[in-house]
Amino acid sequence: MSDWTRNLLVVTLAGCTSSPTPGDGGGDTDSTVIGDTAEEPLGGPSVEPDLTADEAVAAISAALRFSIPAFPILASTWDDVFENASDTCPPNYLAFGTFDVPLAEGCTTDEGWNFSGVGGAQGDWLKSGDQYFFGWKTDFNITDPEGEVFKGGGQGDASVAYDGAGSITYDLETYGIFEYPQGELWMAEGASLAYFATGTYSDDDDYGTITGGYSYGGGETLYFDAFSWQRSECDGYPVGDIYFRDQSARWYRWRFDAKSCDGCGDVVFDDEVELGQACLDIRPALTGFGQLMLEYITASYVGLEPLPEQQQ
Amino acid sequence: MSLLLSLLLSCADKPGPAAVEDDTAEPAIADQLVALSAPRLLRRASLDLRGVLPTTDELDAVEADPTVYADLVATYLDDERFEARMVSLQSERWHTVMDVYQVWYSDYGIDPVEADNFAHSVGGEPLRLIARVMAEDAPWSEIVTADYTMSNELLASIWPIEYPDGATGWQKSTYTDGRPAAGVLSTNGLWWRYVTNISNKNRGRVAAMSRLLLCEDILSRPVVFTASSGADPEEAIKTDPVCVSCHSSIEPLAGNLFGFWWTIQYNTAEMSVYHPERELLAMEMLGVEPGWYGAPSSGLQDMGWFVANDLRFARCGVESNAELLWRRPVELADFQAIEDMREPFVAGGMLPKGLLATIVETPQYQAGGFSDLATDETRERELVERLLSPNQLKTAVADLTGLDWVYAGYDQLENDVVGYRTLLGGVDGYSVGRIQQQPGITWYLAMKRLAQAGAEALVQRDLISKEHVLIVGAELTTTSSDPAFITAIEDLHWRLYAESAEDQWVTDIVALYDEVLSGSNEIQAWEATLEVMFRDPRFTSY
Repeated sequence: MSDWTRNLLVVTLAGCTSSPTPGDGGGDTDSTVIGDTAEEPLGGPSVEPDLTADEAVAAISAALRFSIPAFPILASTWDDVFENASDTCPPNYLAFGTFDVPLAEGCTTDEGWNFSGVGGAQGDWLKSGDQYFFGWKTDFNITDPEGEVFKGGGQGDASVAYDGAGSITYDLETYGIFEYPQGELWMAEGASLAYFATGTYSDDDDYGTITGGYSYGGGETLYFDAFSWQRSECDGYPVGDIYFRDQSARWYRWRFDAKSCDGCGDVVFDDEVELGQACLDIRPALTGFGQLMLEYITASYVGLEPLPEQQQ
Repeated sequence: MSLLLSLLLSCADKPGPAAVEDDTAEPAIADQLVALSAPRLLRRASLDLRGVLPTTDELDAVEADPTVYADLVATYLDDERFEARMVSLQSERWHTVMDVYQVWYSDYGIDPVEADNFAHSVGGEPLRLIARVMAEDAPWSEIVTADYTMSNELLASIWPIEYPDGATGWQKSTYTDGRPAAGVLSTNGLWWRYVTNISNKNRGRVAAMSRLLLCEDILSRPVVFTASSGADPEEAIKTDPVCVSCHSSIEPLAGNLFGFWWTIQYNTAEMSVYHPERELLAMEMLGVEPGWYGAPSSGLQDMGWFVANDLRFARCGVESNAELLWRRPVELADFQAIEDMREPFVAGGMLPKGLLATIVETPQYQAGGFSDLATDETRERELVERLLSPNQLKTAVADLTGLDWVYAGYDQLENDVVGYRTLLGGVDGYSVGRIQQQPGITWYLAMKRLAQAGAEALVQRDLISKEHVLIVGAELTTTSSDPAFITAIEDLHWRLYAESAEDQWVTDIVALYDEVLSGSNEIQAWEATLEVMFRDPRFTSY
């Protein structure tokens, strides 16, 4: 008899006796369905908010202290670290950022940098030179002479168009986990990332959308759902939801509607418990997201010619 | 199917007792089976629950009074070896212990001599949690609701785990990466075995969870694919009725597991930690909110409690442990037997030791043969003689002889890299999923090597080093004509086989000893004699 038939039989026979309705722990019903609860439901985790609305929003603000972790910090860390590569270590390192050294052995430069892993992170101008692309697919550990490890695994890409006059348009998809204690901003904390974002940024305007989130060591964790902001609309105040996860693994949702435009939103715990409204101006953190990308692009690449092998 | 229909009809009609009388009813299962002798039965229980043979005193006691069986079983359930034995027993079902995972020991910079320890630590994590629940006789539901994991020093050194200061070995520990508390469902070890990828999105893991915890094998459902199903799988599972019938429940379940959704395989950083920021990504990736068969879920922790409260969970706990101790699959014919155990199990708070004590009292467990009333189906279904698993052989031989059969860090009976696990009928967690119950060529060869190694270790310890732990009353210099030699051999027979030695066997084994001695020396004669005793089917089966 197949498992499928057996389970049908179990369900059928169970249906001959009185059974509880889902979740109520008792009472007579006519039938039992897949997913019914046991006769005497066991307890369950306590679902009570530990934070007030203001505390939750303060926690969200704290988790935005480095803005939203984005590729410029990863790219600059990667570039900085690979300046320490030698001609032979990593042995098959290519100029634009791919290498492959068995993780177990790795290789060590004369200056004491150990490179191990596989993958690549490549950032350069593409096509006519106005489109910057940074992509990565990595699984690596790079240890500096002080013993600090730059480690990462993940994949994603960032496509950024620059108009030559201080304006960028970006499209990011970021998955993975990266950490380097000697790195800047979020990289020093170590972050696990999973989001996609689009937007434009210039001195005159700032528009962004993001879905997904990030976590610092499993502690501070934010998630953005249908979240956007635009300087020319709503004075740059966001629209959409930010979720903050507490230590009990429950989520607080901070929701901004499209009308209030005041940095205030209702906070709800675990999709059920309304905690009231809280207000905080997080626009500087959001502005930093595009601003950092623009600064990185202009500082690193503007004025440089695309590499010949990439002009196609 | 006719049985199913008849059950449905009986359910609807509620007939009186007279209507269900059946002259052709099968004899009760207890009447079809002949139980093992009390000493052999005690040996079976001891091997199943402790992994070692009963002591001579225990055998003497149960032979004198078979009713002490239950009392001795109770002591076995509290034995310090019970927990480790449950790890191995549950491993036969959970399959989390493999030789190779997507991440290797070397990826963490671990020394090669620790490779076997690495594999058994990773795969052992969920099994240790289950075994700890059983050893503490905590409610079975704790395997999916526990707010702790089990860790040893190695796991604590590579994963974000808070391990007790100054402790050694397997200890209750806590992850520090924000993962929800959901017992085995929160362990890296489970999800390293049952992996997913970018496109699978935890659906395969749902199938594993369903099979392991609810005894419902989603993959066994009959599915007929249509041509349109293959066009765009992600679309088809939302629109094609053939797909929707299963995926409408699978997708919400999969949504609970996104904290373990790695975006790149084979990476230690990704696979070592839980990713809380991906929990809510489930809605984006799957298009549905996390849930449990129609009820909304807040994630993994809720999922653990949903499992614990699901009617199928308790029954599955009974069924799966019965399978492990009966050493065969549970079938339709076992329905009532399982149900008879499930009811008191649930009423008693789902305590594992009570369940095991009940299972080892069943006719199916105690069977050593068939009566004249046994039907063909019963003869085909029941396993009246069982092969010792590699783990049982390891622990039993180690207990008897002191043999610690390790080579280059690899336990020779617990791996297949440089060991004999599957050759000796074991489960490797991946390609071999059930303990072998019939000896084959490789089993014979591997058993021969184990018997040789055990015999050598025993002679060294008891006769050369004169510790006399198992062989008592005889020395290397004792001749085979000395009554002390015969007594020692007969005592060994009783201990190893739980049967008294017959005269012919004594004559034959003495002749063997003498023949080997005539061509070599006392050491080789004893080793050959003991090797033969270890290779005897009465030792290798139970």
